[in-house]
Amino acid sequence: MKPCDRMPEVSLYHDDEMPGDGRAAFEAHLASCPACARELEALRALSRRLGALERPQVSPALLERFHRATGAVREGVVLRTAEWLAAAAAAILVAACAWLWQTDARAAAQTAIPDAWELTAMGIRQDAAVSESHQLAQWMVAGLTVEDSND
Amino acid sequence: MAGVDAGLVHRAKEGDETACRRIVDRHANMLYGLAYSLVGNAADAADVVQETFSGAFQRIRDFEERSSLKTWLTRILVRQAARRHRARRKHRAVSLSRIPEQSEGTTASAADANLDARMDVLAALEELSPVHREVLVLREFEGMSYEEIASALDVPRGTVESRLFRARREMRTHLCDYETNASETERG
Repeated sequence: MKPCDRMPEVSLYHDDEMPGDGRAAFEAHLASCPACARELEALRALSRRLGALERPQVSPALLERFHRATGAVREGVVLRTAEWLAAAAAAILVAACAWLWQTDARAAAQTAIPDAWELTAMGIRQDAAVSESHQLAQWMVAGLTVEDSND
Repeated sequence: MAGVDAGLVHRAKEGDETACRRIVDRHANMLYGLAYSLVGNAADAADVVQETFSGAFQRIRDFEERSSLKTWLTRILVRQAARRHRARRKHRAVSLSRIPEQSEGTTASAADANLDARMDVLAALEELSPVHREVLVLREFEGMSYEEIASALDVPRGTVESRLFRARREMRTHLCDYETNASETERG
């Protein structure tokens, strides 16, 4: 039998994947083309044969197995989320500790600065005291010198 | 997406385990039948379906719902089956293609003949390349449209058409004895 160029279209027709107008035109072709008509019959026979194969059904035990697996996945997701949260909490804790440590160090540094200022301030006062003593001594020397000269 | 599935998916994304169980209940049979057709035995089919559900629920939040849940699950299952097929092929000692040879001469009764015919169809399916088997199974067993198959396999529609055409040709070549007998019966 001479093959037909339109044979690949038989699949489309068989699977009802041909648009409406194309389908009507192809039906006219099928009526006049023994090769395509035979191809269509072969496809229908193959579909019948495949359709006759038994389709296994899921038993209750197997369904329960799928349910268990699904539950395990959900638990796994929850566990992973919990692990992630725990890791995040640990990271926050470490960061908080580091921040507190830095804050303490800064506070200590700030406490030390007034000491330095205090010392500086005391130093100034000491200088001032030294200066006053020096002036007093100078006045005393000057006074004695005047008394001596008067004598 | 079908209304019921859409609602279940939204609930499953929020971690509702009951919704996950409902999804399993609704699609287990379809997926198991499909897996059985793709991998050829019940034990592997059960494993493939379990892996499919596990993978689906792990990534349910990534499901953008552009296709139906059925198509999305089918896509995952086809990939799992292909992976298992590749792994099994490496370790397989006995080819299923020998089944018809083993059943030669055992057509004593109509029941045996029927069984032989079914075994031959299964063996012919097994002989197909994975990509040809996928399209044929999705079309013939699941009744999926070309667009749905294209979406499930992530290939263009034209590829589905050409693969389906070749798959059927190959099946008919493997089953040519039956076609010849059928023609003779019709003529006789």
